[in-house]
Amino acid sequence: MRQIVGLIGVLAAAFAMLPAHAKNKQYTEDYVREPMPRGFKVIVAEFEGPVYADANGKTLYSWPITNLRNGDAGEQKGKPTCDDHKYTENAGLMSPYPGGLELPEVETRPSCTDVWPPVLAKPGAEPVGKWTILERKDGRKQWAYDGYALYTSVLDRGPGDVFGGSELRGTSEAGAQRKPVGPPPNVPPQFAVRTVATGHLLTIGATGRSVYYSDHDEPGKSNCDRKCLHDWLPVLAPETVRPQGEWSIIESSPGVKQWAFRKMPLYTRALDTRGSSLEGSDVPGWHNVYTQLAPPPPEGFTVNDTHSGQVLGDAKGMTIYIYNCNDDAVDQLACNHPDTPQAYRFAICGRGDPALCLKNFPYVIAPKGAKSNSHIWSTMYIDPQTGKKATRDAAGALHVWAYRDRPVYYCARDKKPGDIECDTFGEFNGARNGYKAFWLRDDFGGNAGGSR
Amino acid sequence: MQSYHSMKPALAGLLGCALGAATAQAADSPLRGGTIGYVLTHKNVAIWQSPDGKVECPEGLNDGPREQFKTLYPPDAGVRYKFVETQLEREGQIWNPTTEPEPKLHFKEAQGTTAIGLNLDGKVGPNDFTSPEGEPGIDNQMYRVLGCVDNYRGPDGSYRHFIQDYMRKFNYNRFLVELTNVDDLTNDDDVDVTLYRGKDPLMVDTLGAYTPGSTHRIDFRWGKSFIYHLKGKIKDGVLTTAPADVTFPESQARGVPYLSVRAWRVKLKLTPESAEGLMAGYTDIERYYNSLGQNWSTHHRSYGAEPMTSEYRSMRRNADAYPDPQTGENTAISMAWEIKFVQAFILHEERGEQAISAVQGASAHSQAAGE
Repeated sequence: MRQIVGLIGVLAAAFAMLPAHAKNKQYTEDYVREPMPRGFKVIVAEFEGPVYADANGKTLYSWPITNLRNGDAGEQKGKPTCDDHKYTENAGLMSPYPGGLELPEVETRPSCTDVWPPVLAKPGAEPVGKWTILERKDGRKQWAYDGYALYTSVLDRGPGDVFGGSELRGTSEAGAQRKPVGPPPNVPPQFAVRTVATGHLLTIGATGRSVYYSDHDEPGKSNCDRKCLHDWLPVLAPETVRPQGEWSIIESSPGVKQWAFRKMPLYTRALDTRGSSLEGSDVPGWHNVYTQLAPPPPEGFTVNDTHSGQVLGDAKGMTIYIYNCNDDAVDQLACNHPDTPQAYRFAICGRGDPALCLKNFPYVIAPKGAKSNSHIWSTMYIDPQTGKKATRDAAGALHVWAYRDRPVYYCARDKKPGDIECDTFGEFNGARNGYKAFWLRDDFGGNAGGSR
Repeated sequence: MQSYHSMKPALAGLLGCALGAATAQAADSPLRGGTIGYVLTHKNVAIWQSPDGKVECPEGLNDGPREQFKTLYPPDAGVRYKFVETQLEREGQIWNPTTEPEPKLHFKEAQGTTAIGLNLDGKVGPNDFTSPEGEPGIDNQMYRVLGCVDNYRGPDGSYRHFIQDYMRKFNYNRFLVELTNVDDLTNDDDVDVTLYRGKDPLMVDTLGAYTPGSTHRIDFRWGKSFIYHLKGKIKDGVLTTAPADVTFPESQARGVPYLSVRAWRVKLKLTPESAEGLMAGYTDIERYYNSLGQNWSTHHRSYGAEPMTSEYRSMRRNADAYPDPQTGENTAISMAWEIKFVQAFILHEERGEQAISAVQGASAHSQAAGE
């Protein structure tokens, strides 16, 4: 177990691309400056990186069509379907259960547009670049990006909030989820950026292989000798390429051009066997390259080894869990937030019994005066009997830690640091209605993002 | 036409087969310096099946989640069902199982007296089975639970298929066995057996068959909890190990769960190219049940008609070992798996400072290693 100060100190160097001369500087991801209609802007969010936002700073989302077990949900390009219809029954999109079942809290269930207000185009607005204007069924005009209709989320309260969806979380097992929309990262064509739990990981686009840099090198100079080159392969740059922004080219040996990012020469690792690998960072002096780091958790949290990688733990190393839920109606609304129906979670954690839930999956209590230095971590008061938000002075209210505006939990079955007894616990392996450990690194599966 | 250089290994393979285990440390044998490794390629829950299934499953196979749901909530009952009282009720029961009766559901346990497995307690008890070869005292009460569940039955039970699929695709499941201190692969009454989790893919030939001779790195980074040192002996080419409590990874790629088995042991027919036989022990019920759900969602279990809540009750009912000190209820159930390995070279360190175990051991026996 490592203290999170280690995470901030030691892993700050590992998580971020921090050459010696720029320690403690938090980099943000550079992005392609695309033509954009008036009234919109780019905000570099702490975890998601550059996202488009409306004039009020609210993040924009799309809802790409997703193939679920019994059909599709989401939107095709050019065809917005999120409307003001209030669905009362599930759609049976997730096998093996049938559709036609009355949804929880049906009397107060919001419509899709109650939760996802469409981003409307003002009269006279003109399309520009990837930004186009669609006509909704009700005749109103709606902005679209890359063909997909745009929405904001009622969960986002201010600029930089991205609580409606994430690039990290979401396989089809989790339902058809909304994703934040942003400009492409400003990386040369042979590279790609993948969102993983620890940040935006730089990879080789064609292969998915991770890109590394070394403390043994110097800004603008490779010191990788013959022995080093046995395991570390320089990322070669095309002959005609020119430096731009954070990207430069060094001549590592006569006639051999090698990419450098933020001045440091780049390599792949010969022994990596899977995409988005973090294994090379186990070699002393070598680090994965990130265009942007994930914000660290609040002070006192720890990183703990499991039998497949690393998970986030509390100060004593006990694993932190995230609850995931997407409902099964046509509009696929989230059910993992304290403002949404809690019947889903109560079923999994305690067969409908809030007291059993509290015993099996206790909330992670935040100390009085606990502070977070990021949007993505916060504290909130929860009524454990209802699972919903409570006021500070409400009887029995618990002051708990929250990630992405949702409480985080323990698993009572875990007995020691690194135990993950409740990982993939619930419907569709914890992705659809259930719990997953807060993975930071998974060397075998895809739990921490990237690819398997 | 085959060149001399390409013929040599083929000839060596033929020699190896012809001489078999008797030439334990012949020049080209993978048994080098008293060490040989194997990697697991096949693992199936041991399910004995009569030709028509009528002996062990006279009432037929069990209903799965989809069929049970229809039984509990008939679609033609004229009822407007609520999500909370149906789907969530069922999932709540799955994730919080009890032993309360399921009056509307009927679970069919395997019948008869024949089962595949090992005699774990050295006794012949009233609930024990007789093996297909006639050995009495077989402890495999999990067969009662899973014997009539389509998921596990051959030739094409869904779990049976996918566990092989993910054995190949998912390195998390890589299970290595290394024998050391081996004087003779046919008879040796004292060998050391070490279990590891590897981190490399299985090697297949052009027809998709697993081939011996591949190299596997040990996962020392995350797999420490899967390393066990056991004692074993080889008699007439069959390896048996002393019982030990072990855990091993078993995942269908959606999560990373594991199984925990008490008094685990193997009985494996060894050759220089392969190992095949059984592993058995007393499986921790709670871990097995949770691992099943963590691996295999209700949707996936519907493929193979596997009713988890009914199985839980059956597991608890048939549990036969490790009583809880407070309640006296057994917490584990006897179980067996059919397993196959191919020979593998087990690499103990990363490249740069690497040492293939066999070669490392062979350094003191350079002639035997044939180098």
